[in-house]
Amino acid sequence: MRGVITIFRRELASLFWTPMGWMLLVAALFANGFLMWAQLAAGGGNVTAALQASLGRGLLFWMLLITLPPLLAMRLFAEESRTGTLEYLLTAPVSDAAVVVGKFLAATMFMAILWLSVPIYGLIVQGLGTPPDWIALGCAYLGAVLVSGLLVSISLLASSLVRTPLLAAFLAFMACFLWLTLPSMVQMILAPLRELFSHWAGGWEAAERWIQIAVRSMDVPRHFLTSFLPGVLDSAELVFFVTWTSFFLFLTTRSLEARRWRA
Amino acid sequence: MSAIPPNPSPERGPASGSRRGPRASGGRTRFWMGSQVALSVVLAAAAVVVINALVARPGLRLRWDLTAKEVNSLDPATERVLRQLPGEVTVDVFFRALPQPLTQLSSQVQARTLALLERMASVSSDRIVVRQNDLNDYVAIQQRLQDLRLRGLENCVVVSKGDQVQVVRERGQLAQFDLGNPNPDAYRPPALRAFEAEKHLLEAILSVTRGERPKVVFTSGHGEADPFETGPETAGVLESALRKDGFVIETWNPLEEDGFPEDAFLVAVVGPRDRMADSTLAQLDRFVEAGGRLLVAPHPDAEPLRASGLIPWMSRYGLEISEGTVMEPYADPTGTGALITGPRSEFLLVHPNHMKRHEIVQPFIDSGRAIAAVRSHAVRVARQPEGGLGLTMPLISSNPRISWLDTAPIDYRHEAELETIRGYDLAAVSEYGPSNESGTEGGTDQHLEKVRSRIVVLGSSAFLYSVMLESQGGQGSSLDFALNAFNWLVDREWRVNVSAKDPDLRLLSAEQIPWVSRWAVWGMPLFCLLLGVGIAYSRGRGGPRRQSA
Repeated sequence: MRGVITIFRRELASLFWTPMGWMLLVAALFANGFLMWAQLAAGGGNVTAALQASLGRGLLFWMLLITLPPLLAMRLFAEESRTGTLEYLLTAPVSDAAVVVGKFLAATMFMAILWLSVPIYGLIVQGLGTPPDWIALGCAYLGAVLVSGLLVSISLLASSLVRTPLLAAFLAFMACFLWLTLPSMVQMILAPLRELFSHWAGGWEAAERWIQIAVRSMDVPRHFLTSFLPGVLDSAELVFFVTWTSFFLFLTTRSLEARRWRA
Repeated sequence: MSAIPPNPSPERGPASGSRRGPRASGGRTRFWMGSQVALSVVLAAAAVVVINALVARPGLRLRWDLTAKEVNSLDPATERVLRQLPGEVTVDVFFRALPQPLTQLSSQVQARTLALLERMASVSSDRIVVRQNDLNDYVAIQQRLQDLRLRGLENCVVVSKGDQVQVVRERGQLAQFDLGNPNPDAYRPPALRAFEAEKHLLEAILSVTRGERPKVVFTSGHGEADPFETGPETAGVLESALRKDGFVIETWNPLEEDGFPEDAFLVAVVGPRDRMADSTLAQLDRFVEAGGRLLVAPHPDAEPLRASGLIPWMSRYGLEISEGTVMEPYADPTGTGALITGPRSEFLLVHPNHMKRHEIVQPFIDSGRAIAAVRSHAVRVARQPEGGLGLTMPLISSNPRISWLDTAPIDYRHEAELETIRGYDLAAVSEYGPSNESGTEGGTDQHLEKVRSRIVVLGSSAFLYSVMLESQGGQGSSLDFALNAFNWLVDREWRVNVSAKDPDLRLLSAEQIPWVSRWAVWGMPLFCLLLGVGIAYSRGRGGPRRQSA
């Protein structure tokens, strides 16, 4: 545990001691603030809708989610691997799992700080006399952090697989993009297949039904938008994010271990 | 971290003499470890999938709506209907973004409707099947509309079951929009004023699932409330609501018509003023004995009630109807908090804690709503059904701490010597099978079920008068109560109505929005920028917290 905390503090500090961290934060805050204002203006001053737009209902949220975690994670393993500092870290008296979890927590904390801007918007509108639904907003914030954690864990895995930071960021970006757009992709693929297998009517319908169920169960935006964002805490959705994040962290740990016996 | 396993073939080292030995041994080790890693990954993935599948099961899944007004939860009455849906209902969604200035609001409404449908599907154990239709796929849309026997539709939801189809439109039904004022001098942006998707979707679902249309016969010829008349003391509003809910309404005048109406499922005796002939009552007894359903609502005034003969007739079913009227004092409108009496005392509001647990009133208990009762006699359960299996029970009661039974002549005053303060039952239900003597020897359970009788006795026909059902106070409760009673009588106890949910709008005024712009768009990023520059400056000067490896 001490190892995790040490790595976490080291990585978080390094994020905020470099210009890149601040540049990302300023750009994201500006864009999110603009979205909040635009949504308020377009939605007739509807505070709940505007806060939800900044925290998941708007496209910007998802664009930040598929760009920021890869950019944050690329330096966590790939960059260290390229400069050679990773070897020192792996020979330090901390387990591989502690290294992975510490780095994961640091990157997720950065995202959590970024999304903290939305509760601050809540304070602003409360100051103007319209308090938001704080408990629902807290639930949406928790969901945003969980989604960020999931994408950070995927990005960490990509970063641990290659030694080139930009390649790691690209791989992570593609993986996040593909997973988030999985339902639309599958629909695009299924449409021509439906015509191809039209002669196999009953069988294809059953197969398509199973595919739809599988894809639906892996639909990250749906898990977030239908539960956390509107203020619903659902045990199944919570378990979804926790288990898949743990799975990718487990893969990252195995990937680091594999470096040893590959070397 | 797993330990590196020992070399599986240590004897094959360089000393073995083979030149390929070390490479082969290393390869096998790598293969062994790679397999181990692959296996652990596969097992971990399988564990994740299994855990997710398990926790998504209805029995294990927990859900908390944390919003202040529980806007993400279905009304308990809606959940009740969905859980008992008799078959699969298909909901086709035909959504396209509305043109400006409603584009943003429309997108919110559509997202909320889809989330609502998803919740409905989940609660109904997937008996609600939601189909999202892509309006860009022209051929598929035309095909689907042809299947539904509709044309030229968009921005609506179509609820269908077999041949039954109901269309719920986005504007006006799913949501009420305020178009705002585009005039720059008095600009007001468009806004969402109400989101009523749950109410309208449920109505559509009930409409397509109503199945056979049970026939309700209202007796006439004795001064009863007429279902085909309009006026304050008629049953016109009730008839309209029943027809909308899938009932067929007829009247039967036993003084003019010889035979009993064929295929009548339910007979309603609503507020007769004149004596009902013994032969008529005997016909009704035979109807009930044969499994027919009966609703009795005596006239609110003592004299017509006495004249109608309903009191001795109902006593044969173990129910005693008082001639007096149940009263409750009401709060002083000047705000002193004092309870005063007067004509308004005959208007009673029955809260859920004075309702018994029964299908008819359960939705009111679940959703915490009151039922309005007016000019009601007391209906006392004197005895349980004899011979057969069954139960007679009160349904709703007056407030036991303040109500009294005002005896005729009605003076709206409580006379302590004559009139006791206590709770009085205002309606009762009875359900029973055939008596042992009624010739069902050897009957199967199915047969018993078929001839099972149900009776509802209301404290007064004023419960069902149009003036009551149309009034603001009665619209949300008395009409639902009446419909529930009729639906329970015809074995459709799962059909209930719900009111629209409060959308919990939290709005900023147009003047306040620029303040948000100042703080959110400029203030916070600028603050972060200054903080970052400060830290960079501090580092440049060799501050104490330089990044350490």
